[in-house]
Amino acid sequence: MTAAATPQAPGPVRPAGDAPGPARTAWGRWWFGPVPRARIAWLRVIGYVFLPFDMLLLTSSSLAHARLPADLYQPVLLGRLLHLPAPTPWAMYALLTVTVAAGLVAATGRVLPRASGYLAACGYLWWVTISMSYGKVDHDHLALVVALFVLPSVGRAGIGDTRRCEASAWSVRCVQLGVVAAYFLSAWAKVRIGGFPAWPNGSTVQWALSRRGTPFGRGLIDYPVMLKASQWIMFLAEALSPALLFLRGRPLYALVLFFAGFHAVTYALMTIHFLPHAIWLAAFLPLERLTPLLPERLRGGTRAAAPAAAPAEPAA
Amino acid sequence: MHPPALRLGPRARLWRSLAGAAVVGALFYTSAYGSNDDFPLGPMTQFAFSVKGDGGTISSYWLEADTAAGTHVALSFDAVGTGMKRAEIEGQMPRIRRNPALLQGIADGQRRLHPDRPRLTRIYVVQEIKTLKRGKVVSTMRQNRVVWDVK
Repeated sequence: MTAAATPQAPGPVRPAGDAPGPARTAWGRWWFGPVPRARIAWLRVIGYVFLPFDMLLLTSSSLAHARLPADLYQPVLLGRLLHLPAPTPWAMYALLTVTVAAGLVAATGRVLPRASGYLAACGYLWWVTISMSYGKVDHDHLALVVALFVLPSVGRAGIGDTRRCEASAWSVRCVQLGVVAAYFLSAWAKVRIGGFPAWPNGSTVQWALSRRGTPFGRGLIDYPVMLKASQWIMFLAEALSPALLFLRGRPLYALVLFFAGFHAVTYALMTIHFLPHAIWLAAFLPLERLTPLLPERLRGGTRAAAPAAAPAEPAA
Repeated sequence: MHPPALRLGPRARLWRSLAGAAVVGALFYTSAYGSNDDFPLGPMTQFAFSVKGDGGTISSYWLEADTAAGTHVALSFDAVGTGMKRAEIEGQMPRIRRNPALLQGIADGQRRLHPDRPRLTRIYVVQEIKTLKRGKVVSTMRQNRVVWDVK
């Protein structure tokens, strides 16, 4: 988020020839261990296609809120700092249009990738801040907001761009951090607010199922021991989620699958999907491997990959 | 073999490192000392509260209304129905209780969102309280917390 507040344009990406040597410190390797630019292109497609879906269906309350009188508007701190006015229907329609359009431009990764991306990021942050300013704050948007602010920093990237680069690595890491932070800090909040072991031993899942359980979920209401076990599993999984940041290969993919399964089950039981968060589990996967599965003409890769070979030759 | 990776210059690396560390730091700080007001930062409070399995209660609020057509309806739980979600009604409950006139805004919003439906004449904020014993619901109680005659 603060990434966008940095007005300075990201440094130009230089070929290896004239750059300082590869990152030697653990810190450098962890943040900047090169990642193919194609992964950024895929993450952009996921994020920017999701954006209209989110704005029209999930946080569409911004539009409904705009029809309420201003005295029900209780802006959160960010809204007060930026002096965001109470929404009006036309302002919200304009914001929706600009944000979605900027996102679709940014999704191509070709035309003004930074300007369009940061515009979509700011537009969406405004939108979601309005959505959270009526007495209820959801926390499933952290990874989405982070992703929108870090993905533009890479600049141009196509899904066929196999060049590995450090700028992409940083962006992917930030998205991953957003995902893990949402899990880990949820466990932290449970300790701070609900208490430990009061939270896992309590009846919060019972509370959620009673209030908004699906027929399937309500079927579990009479099994308190199972509900308690599920709370322990949830709490431990959230507390141990930072492992996602350090595992590699199959163990990592297995853990990603576990969390995806957790979201699927939560949806089946109480129609809470956490999609704005869950889609970013994709940031842990080697998405660039999807490109060869596409028909040749959709890859757009040859064009992007060709310049990669050029600087490599003098360096060799 | 892979082509050599594209590297970042020291300044590009520096602002990225600092931005990353700053956001992570801010997330930890707000998780430790902050409140929901700090959105989009922490604390991640959704479902973080604890409900006692023995003697704990599950409370929920929703809106019901009398209409000009003489019917009594439950208003939809989502923002598209009334302009306010159930959790938002709950989040603003202390304000609504102090100042029931806020419900007038909901009637007005409803009229703008659904001009085709019969006008609301009286709005009720209904609370349901379920009591738990050994993790199971043993009793349910319902009452009107706030009633507002629409003007």
